[in-house]
Amino acid sequence: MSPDYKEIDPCDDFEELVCGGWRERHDLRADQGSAFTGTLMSEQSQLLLRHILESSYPKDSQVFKSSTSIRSLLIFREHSYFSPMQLMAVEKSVDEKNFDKMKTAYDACLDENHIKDVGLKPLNQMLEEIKKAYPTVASGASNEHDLKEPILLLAKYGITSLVSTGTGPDDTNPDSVVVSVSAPYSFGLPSQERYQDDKLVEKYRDVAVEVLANLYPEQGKDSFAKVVDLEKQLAAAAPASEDRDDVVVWPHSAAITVHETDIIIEVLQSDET
Amino acid sequence: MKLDKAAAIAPEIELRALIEGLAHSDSNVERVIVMAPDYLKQLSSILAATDRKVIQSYFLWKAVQSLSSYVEADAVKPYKRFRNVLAGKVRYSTCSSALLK
Repeated sequence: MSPDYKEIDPCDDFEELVCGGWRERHDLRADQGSAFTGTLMSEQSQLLLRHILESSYPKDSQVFKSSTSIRSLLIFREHSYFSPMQLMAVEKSVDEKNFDKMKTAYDACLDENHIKDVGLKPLNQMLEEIKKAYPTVASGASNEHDLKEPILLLAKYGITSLVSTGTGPDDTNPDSVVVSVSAPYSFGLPSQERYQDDKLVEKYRDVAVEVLANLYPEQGKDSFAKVVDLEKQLAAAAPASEDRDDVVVWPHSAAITVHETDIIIEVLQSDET
Repeated sequence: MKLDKAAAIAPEIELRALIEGLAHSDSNVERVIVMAPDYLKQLSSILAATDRKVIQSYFLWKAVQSLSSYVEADAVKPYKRFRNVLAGKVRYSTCSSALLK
């Protein structure tokens, strides 16, 4: 707010009234497209996170202590045959293990020289795995439908390829969990509407062909170019972005769905227990 | 709907095997919500009409798109540039949300 907010009539200069003070105290950095309170909060927590990750495991930190005791209370409820003292010890080491894991990931990410040294190696390994899971020549007549292997492989790495699956509370029976199957949110370009922008699509195609040809120079570029046509077809088949979560549009697809199941997918299970 | 019925919409993708592969081994998924039955139907016929080479390249491309930000190599730079143009961003590092200098 403007420091003079008491003097300014909102009907005269609303902009100055609400933003005047902000402008005086904040500059837009060269790397920023916008800045608001949320930006400050996010930068603040990034700073905090960095300080945590760059120091050693805080054995006596108040923050860690309190979160540990809350969690051990939760565990205590589930496994009441343990003594609380024992739990503290066990839980603390899990906490520390998690911390070490995060730190390892963080340090690995910061090791830019090593990342440059290994270059494409990790990516190439993964691409070879995909090629093995889905060779261009089907192995045997029974394997006509062998798409599940590459889909599952990519899913293992958190990559959605052809279908998106998830779990959530059942609309009609919120106490139970149901698996849902839907179209991926994105097929490559950020939204399906972008596939109608021919100029952008051609630019995107050039990039896809260039990168894939860099990785597989010996392979014909034709199939690389056609990937974008496939994406375009898939995007056209998917429900429009504005409809996909629309509860009013849903029922006609839900009409042939039955919302009842009490299964729990792995992720969810590990979350809830 | 019953998983078998849902799977029958899109035989090409083997929905049952997929879900069983993703689910915990103890779970028994018999029903699913299909949020985009039309998509599944069309997906199946699109895939049936697409060359295996193209489908393989599609999978490769998905991996490249998802993982390129973790890799430092000239080969994937054109895609990084393209993505930055799309997002209207100048290049900045993306370790986790936090990191870097």
